[in-house]
Amino acid sequence: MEATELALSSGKEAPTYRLLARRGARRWLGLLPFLGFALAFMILPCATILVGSFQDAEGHFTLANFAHLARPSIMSAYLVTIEVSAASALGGTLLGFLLAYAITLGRLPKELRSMLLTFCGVASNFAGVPLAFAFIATLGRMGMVTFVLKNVFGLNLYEMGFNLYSFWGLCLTYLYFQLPLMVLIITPALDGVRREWREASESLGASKYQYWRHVALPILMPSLLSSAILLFGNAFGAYATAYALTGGLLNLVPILIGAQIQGDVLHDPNLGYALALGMVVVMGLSILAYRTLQKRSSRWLA
Amino acid sequence: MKRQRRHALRQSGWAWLWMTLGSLYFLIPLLATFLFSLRGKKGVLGFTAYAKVFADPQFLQTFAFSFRMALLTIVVGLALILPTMIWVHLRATWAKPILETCSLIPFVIPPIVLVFGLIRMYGVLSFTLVSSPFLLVAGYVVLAFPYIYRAVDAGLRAIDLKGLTEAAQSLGAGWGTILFRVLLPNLRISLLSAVFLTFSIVIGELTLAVMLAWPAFGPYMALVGRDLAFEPAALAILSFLLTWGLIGLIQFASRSLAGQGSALGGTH
Amino acid sequence: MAFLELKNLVKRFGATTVVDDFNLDIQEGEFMSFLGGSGCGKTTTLRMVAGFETPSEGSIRIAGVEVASVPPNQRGVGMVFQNYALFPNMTVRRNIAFGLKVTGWKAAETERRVDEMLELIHMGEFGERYPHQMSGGQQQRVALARALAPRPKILLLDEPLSALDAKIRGRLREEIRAIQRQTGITTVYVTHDQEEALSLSDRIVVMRAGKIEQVGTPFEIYNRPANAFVASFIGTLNVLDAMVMDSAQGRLLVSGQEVVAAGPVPAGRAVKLSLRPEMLSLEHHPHHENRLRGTLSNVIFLGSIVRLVVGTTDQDLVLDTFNTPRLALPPLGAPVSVGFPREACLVVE
Repeated sequence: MEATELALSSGKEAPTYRLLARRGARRWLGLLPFLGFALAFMILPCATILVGSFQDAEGHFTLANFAHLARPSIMSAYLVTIEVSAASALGGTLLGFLLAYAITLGRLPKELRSMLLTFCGVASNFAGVPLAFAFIATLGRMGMVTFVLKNVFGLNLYEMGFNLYSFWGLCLTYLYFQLPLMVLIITPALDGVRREWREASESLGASKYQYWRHVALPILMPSLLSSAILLFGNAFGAYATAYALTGGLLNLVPILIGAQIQGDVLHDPNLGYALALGMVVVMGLSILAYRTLQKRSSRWLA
Repeated sequence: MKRQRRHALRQSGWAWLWMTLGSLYFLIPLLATFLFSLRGKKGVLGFTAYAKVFADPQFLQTFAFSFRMALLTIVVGLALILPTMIWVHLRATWAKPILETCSLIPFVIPPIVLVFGLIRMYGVLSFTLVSSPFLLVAGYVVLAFPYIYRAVDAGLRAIDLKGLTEAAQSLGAGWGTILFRVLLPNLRISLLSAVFLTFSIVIGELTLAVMLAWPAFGPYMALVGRDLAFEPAALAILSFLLTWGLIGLIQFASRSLAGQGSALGGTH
Repeated sequence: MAFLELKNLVKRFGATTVVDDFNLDIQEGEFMSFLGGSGCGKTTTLRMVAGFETPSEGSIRIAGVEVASVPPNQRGVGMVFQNYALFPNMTVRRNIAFGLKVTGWKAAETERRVDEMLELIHMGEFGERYPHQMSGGQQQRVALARALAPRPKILLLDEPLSALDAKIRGRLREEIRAIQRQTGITTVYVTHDQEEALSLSDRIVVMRAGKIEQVGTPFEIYNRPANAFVASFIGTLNVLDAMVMDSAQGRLLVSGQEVVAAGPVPAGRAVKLSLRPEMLSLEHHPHHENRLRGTLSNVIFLGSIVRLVVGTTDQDLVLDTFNTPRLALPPLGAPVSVGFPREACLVVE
């Protein structure tokens, strides 16, 4: 404030210009530390990846890295990662919706609702190594549930073809944090479904099925879609759980990137860049889709 | 009248079904893990596995290391983010969208990609950078940023930031006083929330710690899982209790501050 | 046989009785209002007729058919809500068509009926708009059209104007009444605004704490309130403490002055004398048999009405007079006398 006054009191033409310059610089002052940090540790690493993916080992421009992505093992990794993410996202969306429905429109007691939401707040953070251990202890070859099913019900899971350390095992494990995330996201949307809409549709002669088909689901669809996409992105970028559960056995993109960092057999550093860029593109697209759909749904469910 | 009551019962019947199924899916793994962890000694159900875990010097070392990292992350993170957010709320509201977008970046760049970028960029620069946990803490601050941001944002929106600062200024307070004696006490709850959340994220974090080769708690757990049978289950239970405790504290504290969202997302 | 018969209707929520022994007959084509403050049970009763609440006791008959066990989507009852409840994902046309579509009307008939309804509410050009693109008043008109489209037997309105601005409220009120007269549909209207109830209804039910206080035409409710509650709920009212001197001859003592009512008054010592402000006058009219003396303590300018406050020895009287060019008022503090005919005296306990 004093600086501008000083500037005003000193020359006659200069002050306005100096006033603006002073104001302009000051605008950014408070943001500097944070922007510096964001630049150094968020934006520049990203830029490094972007640039590096278009370079070869000597630093020349090349598209070869992307060509190498077409290698069958890598394509299969993308496919498997997409499948795992899609499957756990779909399962999480569906089951999470049903669970969230139960505590909102399903008119369960309020205490159950707050208990479930608290639990979901914890469970959506309970990922990575501990989660993998928990599922190994439950459904692994020596797991408690495997044991009980074999000795009490006579069902030998592993003989029947089930394997925790596989695609479906990973999906099941991912569900443990996808489900709670879905419940947390979709509960506010379900709260926004007004009771009067159902009553209005009933008074107009609609059955419950017609109400859901023509009114409730269309209104909820943007929220459901955006949540599904968020869940997809959530699973796509997951490393720790997959690593701890399958130990790198399953061919997933995050695992591949990890292998690149730690130097794998086909040590090709620039491939890592391409892989990483591919992942950023997938995540970026999903967050974009999520935001767009969220804006639409907030208009109806406010 | 009877038909309506039957209809109402059928509807809540479905609700109870989903609730029960969901609860089973959530609780069975926890129960199974706990039971599994009690099988440390052959034929006997006891806390042998837990005893072994606590007796392991590596357990304490790595946990202490992660604890220190968490503290550093909290201090650096808050020192960086809190003043910035206060500044933005007060003087530069136009910058809010910038901050919001930044809070989404850690989602677009998952930990595995972040660490890749960090290593490629700084790993070659100087050995000292890599030998001090500076990079690790920086990475953790990036990971924790969205959660800190959301917690502080909710807190700032709940208190009348402008009114409080203007009142303090008119009474002659300088910025130091305003920050530490006016604003911080009123932001206690959201700050606590941010602290516990960061803690929970850093303690069990694996990806960054493994790739940057630090003796943290996450990699320790992974190592235990590779070699031993029942100790991992004990660790899982301990970890779950810790997370539950921390988040539970947040929920308990934030009940007095309306509108504060619960912790979302996870550490992968 | 009345079109809508409510007999011995009771609704309890746990230990609280929200509606207590409600009995009412509504004729076909009648516009009936439920009037009362919040918590008096008027909305609950309406929702029982619609089918959204189940009566704890009693019966509801529409055109002679018992409907208490019929689900709401089969009762043929149209409902308009306070917050419009238009489906946000549908255009105006599709909102109005909803009740037709789900009950199996053919496409051509549906379109014709929707056009008819849009004509009725004078919103022909709004067909492709979405609810969030319209004002509150427009949304409520669409809600009305939507409720009427499937030709329901009864129209129910739950405080439809409460969420709107005062200006729009007045205009929409007239539209609702006009549409109701045009379609001739039996209507039940819930409100806490007595002006709405008085101007719209054929008959009014005044409710308090789940019970009916009085049923009557607006004229009856206003001029012959059954008790002190109804009297004070409707319109502005002077309520003066009075002592009964002679029950048979209707002679009372008010602030030490004698007042004579038009007929016998209830026996007992202390009663309340109610006087409508518009019945009182400072001027001397031959047919104003009663006069109360006091001093002019306040003059309140309300636009077309000028409200005068006159203080007797222990009470205040409020009287209204028109704001005419030749209005000549005595100065504040001057002694005045207030005259009123015997018929203006409403004596309630």
